[in-house]
Amino acid sequence: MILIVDLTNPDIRILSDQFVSPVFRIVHQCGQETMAARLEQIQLSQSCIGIIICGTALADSWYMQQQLIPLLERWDGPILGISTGMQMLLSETGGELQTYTGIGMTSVHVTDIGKKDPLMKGKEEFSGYVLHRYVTTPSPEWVPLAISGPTVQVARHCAYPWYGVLFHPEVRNEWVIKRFIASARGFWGSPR
Amino acid sequence: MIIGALLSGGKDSLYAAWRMMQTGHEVACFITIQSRNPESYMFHTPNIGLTRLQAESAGIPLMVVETDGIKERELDDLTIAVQRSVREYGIEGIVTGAIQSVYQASRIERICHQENLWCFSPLWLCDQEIYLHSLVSEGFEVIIAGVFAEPLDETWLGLKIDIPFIERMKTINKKYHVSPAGEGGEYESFVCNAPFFKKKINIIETKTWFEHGAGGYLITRAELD
Repeated sequence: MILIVDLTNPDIRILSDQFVSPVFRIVHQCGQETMAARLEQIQLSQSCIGIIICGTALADSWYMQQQLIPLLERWDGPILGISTGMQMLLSETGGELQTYTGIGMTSVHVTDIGKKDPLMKGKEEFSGYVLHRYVTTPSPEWVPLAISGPTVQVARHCAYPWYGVLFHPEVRNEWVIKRFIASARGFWGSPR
Repeated sequence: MIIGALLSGGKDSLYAAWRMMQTGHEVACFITIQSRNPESYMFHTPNIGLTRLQAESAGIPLMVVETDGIKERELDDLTIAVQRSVREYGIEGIVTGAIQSVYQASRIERICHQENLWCFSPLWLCDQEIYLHSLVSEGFEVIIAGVFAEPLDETWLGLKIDIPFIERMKTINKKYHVSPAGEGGEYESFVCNAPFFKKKINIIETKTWFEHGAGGYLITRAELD
């Protein structure tokens, strides 16, 4: 099962339609059992093979009062943090948060290390849809796999199977989510 | 939250506004950008003049701003309309009917960001077939107001979106990859009735045209029931 984490403001339920449901559908289309949960209500089950942390609206800052640390302390399996999810993942593991707005399609270049990683393999340059008010400069615990100028678009943790993706892969880059699911399945070797 | 809804007259903008209402938000005004350019990049044009009837039926004020419809400059006109809506209705956010158009969504997101507003696109990347079924089951009465892609021809003009329509679109989608909801600009629609309308819009006179693979169903006279 893939656990999809909803970081949107709980008082504005409709945000889930825009930021969580599209990811849910892609995972479901991959034939993967899927469960969505709000960040503050996560319960990890034995059948969970990976976690996807979705993004939220540009104007939404609810997540800034939340923490991923309690989840990260209990989970060392595959994680894919998308946009805001990446921001939280990187900033709570030593990264530095900076104000930098991005809206629309942007060119993403895969780094030499990225070209060897299962998530980005075979890709050199593509366009990604970004929607963010902040970016995070990753700590040395993270390896940049893809960049847009000085901005890290995709990063992987050195010790854990954790990925952060700044652009929204559910928009025109579904392959990122599909590859993440494949790597999550492979990570455990046998069915959980 | 108090919201302004971009209104084109088509199904997506009205359904998106309806979703906001259903989830407890107040749609304080509709905003229509009336483009003088039929090829407008951003704004749907067929029957746009009839959004006044839709707004009247919904009992929601309508703000109309005209634009020459020149690429990017029309966004300045949208910004003006949004700023006026903030002043006059105190809106805190905008709702759009964007489904897949990154062009449309990102431009509206930019305006909202610049004006410190929330931007909602509740239909974003939705399952289009499920969405069409929701339209029908929730009481939207929608007709086809324009066709712009093969194999859609003049016989589709004025057709109602109902279950047989959805089935036909499914078949066409398999063969021609036409977006079921017309998100690729394959067709345009007009909403005659919605669950939050007090009165249905009766179409009295129409003018249809079809040439070079494209056609329109222009409503020349309509009134509230």
